[in-house]
Amino acid sequence: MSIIKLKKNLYKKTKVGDIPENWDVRSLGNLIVEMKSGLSRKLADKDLGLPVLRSNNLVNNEVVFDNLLYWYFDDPQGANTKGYFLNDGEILVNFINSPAQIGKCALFINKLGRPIIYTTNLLSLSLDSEQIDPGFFLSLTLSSLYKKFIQSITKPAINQASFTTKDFRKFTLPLPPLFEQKKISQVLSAWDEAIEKNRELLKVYLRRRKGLSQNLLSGGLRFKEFIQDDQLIKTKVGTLPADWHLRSISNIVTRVKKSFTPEPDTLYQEIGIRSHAKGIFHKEKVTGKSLGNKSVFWIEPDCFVVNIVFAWEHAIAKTTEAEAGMIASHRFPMYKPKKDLLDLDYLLYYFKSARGKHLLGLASPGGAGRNKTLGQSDFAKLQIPVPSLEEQRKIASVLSEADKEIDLLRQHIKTLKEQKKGLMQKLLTGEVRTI
Amino acid sequence: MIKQPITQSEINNIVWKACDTFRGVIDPSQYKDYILTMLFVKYVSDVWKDKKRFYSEKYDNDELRMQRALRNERFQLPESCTFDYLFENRNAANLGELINTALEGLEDANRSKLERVFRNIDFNSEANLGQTKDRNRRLKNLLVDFSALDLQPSHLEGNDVIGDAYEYLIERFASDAGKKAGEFYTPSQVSKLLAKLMAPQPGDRIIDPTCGSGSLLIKTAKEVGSKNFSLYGQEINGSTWALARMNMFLHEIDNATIEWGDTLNNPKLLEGDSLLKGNKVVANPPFSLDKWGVDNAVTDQFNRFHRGVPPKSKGDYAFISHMIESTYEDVGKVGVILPHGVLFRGSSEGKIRQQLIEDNLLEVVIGLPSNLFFGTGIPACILIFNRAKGENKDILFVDASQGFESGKNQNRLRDSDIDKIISAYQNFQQAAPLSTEAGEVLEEKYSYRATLKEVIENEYNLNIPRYVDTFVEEEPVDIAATQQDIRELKNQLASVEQKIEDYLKELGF
Repeated sequence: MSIIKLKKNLYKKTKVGDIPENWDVRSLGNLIVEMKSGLSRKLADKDLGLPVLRSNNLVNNEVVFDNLLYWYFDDPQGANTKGYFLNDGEILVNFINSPAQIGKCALFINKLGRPIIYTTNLLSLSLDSEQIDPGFFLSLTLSSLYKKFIQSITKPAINQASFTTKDFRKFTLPLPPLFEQKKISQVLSAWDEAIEKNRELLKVYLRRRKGLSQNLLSGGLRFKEFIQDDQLIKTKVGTLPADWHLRSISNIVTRVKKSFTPEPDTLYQEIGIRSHAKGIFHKEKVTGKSLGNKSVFWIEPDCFVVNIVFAWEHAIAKTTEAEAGMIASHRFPMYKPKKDLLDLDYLLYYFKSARGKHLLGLASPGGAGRNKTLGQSDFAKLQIPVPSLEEQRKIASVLSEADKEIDLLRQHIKTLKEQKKGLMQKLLTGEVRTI
Repeated sequence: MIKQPITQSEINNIVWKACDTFRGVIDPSQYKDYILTMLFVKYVSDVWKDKKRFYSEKYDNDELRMQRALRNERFQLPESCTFDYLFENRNAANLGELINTALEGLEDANRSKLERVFRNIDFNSEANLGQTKDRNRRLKNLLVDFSALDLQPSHLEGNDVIGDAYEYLIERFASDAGKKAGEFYTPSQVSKLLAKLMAPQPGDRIIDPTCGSGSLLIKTAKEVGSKNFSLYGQEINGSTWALARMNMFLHEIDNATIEWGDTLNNPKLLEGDSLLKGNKVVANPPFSLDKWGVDNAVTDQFNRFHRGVPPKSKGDYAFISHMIESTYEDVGKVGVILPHGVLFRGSSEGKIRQQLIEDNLLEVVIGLPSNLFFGTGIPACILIFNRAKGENKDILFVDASQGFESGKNQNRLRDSDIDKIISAYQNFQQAAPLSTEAGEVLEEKYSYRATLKEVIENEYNLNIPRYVDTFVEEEPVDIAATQQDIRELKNQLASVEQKIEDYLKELGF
């Protein structure tokens, strides 16, 4: 490969901004070989013969083949479905959707090994490969230049915002020489690869975290120093080590209940608990007056707290010093672990587990999704496995380290994305050159 | 040439099509009564026609002998009350009035059977059927559609065809309009399940104190396997009561007693001064009925609420109490469909529940799938109380909530789901009572034989998950394998990150 050395740092003013002298300004219309919208049918979730891609199959510039819907190979309404078969390298554009989603694109690569078509909300785009690299184009669709353009041509509607293909063709873009486009997309794909790999890693971390929780909370895996009896016994909450105890919640916690009468003009801050064990949040401060007749309680730090209305949906958390001085209604009972018996983090981790969630459900009778309220006396009677305090602490610290590791990796992925965005801003405008 | 017998589905299709005349213009809860009444008139007319021809052939057109023979028929039909007469007059300007008169005539001629049955229907109603011109057009369409239907017994495969078409319509109306037209209609598969659980025997007296259009009674009667049974029903809604009466005749259960009135406040099924008692008492009462009549309950003349008076806003245990008091001592059995709340709600309901268990009446608790009923998604349960439990103090719990096929709007019990529940019940009944304190898992995640001791330990709380453990163990994670994956990914990441660093250096960062 011969590398052509070009004069750097020579720029020209164009309507798409300052770009390198040897770049072109082109409209998309001139770069398209074919553009066509998909088939409008009432799709089925049963496999009728042809998978049909929809807007939600377009994720992060890629086609994901999840939640597929299907249509017949031989269209009952007489359309030639072959005319909609997608080919590798074509780009799908979502041109009818909510304003937030509209315009998103993805590169089609057939991973199913069978013909695939697409719905009427998508356009398929074949680009002229002599002039434009699909990877470069996809990167460009993440730029503010593209997003602004889409906004300008979109006819707003709540969920049916749309633009016309005629308008879409008018997209004006800076176009480097083909080899430079390829280089840009090659550089950016290194970030995509890193993000993708880290996402895979995150998935494995999460899987390992689940495995650790399963094993540590059931005594399936133990640190040797705690083992006094390696026999296993069968209990109502699964098989457990013989040297662990099944204890009722009422025996290992103390209910904390500090009620008070709010002063009408004083400001109070209530807490809320997110479902799916996502922790506590702080509500806006309100006056005592606006609390009305609600019975309220002071938050005590270092307690297990639950929203009884959504306990079945895992609305559980622990209070910390951050909540000191805040309040909660009677729907948020708090329980303080008994010293020498129970570690708060262990308790929380236990109820975060699948088995713990099941127990919360048992104590929340009721058929329908709503109206399932945790019965507090039923909750007090629940029995959970309780190892020695030291072993509880060790279990909790392993799980907590695993959680930290997951958090850090999530942040790392976020940083990589941020870095890629910054790089794109420079590469797609030619401010930084790859050659 | 012998005519091909008309099949069930052909009839179903014709009558369902007949509804097109009304659909979209009038609410199904209104027009269903018209369709169903017309189907009844058509049936009675066609049977009459069939018999007339039969006797005229038999007696060689001897009018006198013919009339005498016809007088012994199930229904008497004056000429101006027949469907054919109405059809001939389909262009009359006062068509609604003509039909009303025909119905009155029909009632007069069959007073013992049809008294008050047509009182709640008015074919001349402007409110329900529109102004004269529209009304006449609709009624004419109705007559034309039904004229295509030949319901003469000689033309049918079996007599139940009509009755089942009637049932089909009632169910379709219920599913079409949800709760409004369906009221509290029990889907046929649920009725079938309850009927089979009751296992009625020849000679049984079967009672449904909230019988609706009578489907559950008929389904239960069919389980007897012969005609040797007696049916009793009570229904609060006048139009629905009329439908139940017609439904019985269409199924040729002419001696059924169906009363009109409020079972809790005004029980009509009586024997002398006391409640009528039966072998099998079934019901799908309205769920958690508010204002069911607590005031009268305290001084109930039939002493139905001696185990306790249910709360005023939830009538579930009032119906249960009524049903249990309507069974024969020592042999009677109750099968009732109710919301799950009856299993665990406390205070007065908890006390009644405890008493029922202590009296050793409760035999089975079955949790049904959610979304089986029209117009409500809430999951229901079936309770069976049995006065013949004898030495057996165990209670069977069945979690049948996962056994269904999902339909467009409703879930549906399949025959295989019903069979599974029935065989769990039969096996439970045949096995010897437990002598242990602990219960026994009969089928993992499905059925459990609980001892009285356990129920007491649970403070008489019958919430099914306390007995049938439905916890699904998570897929175990292979931690060693995750370690391996992590190592590999980290290796790959190292090289990607190297590449990134090289690029950045090249780009001058």
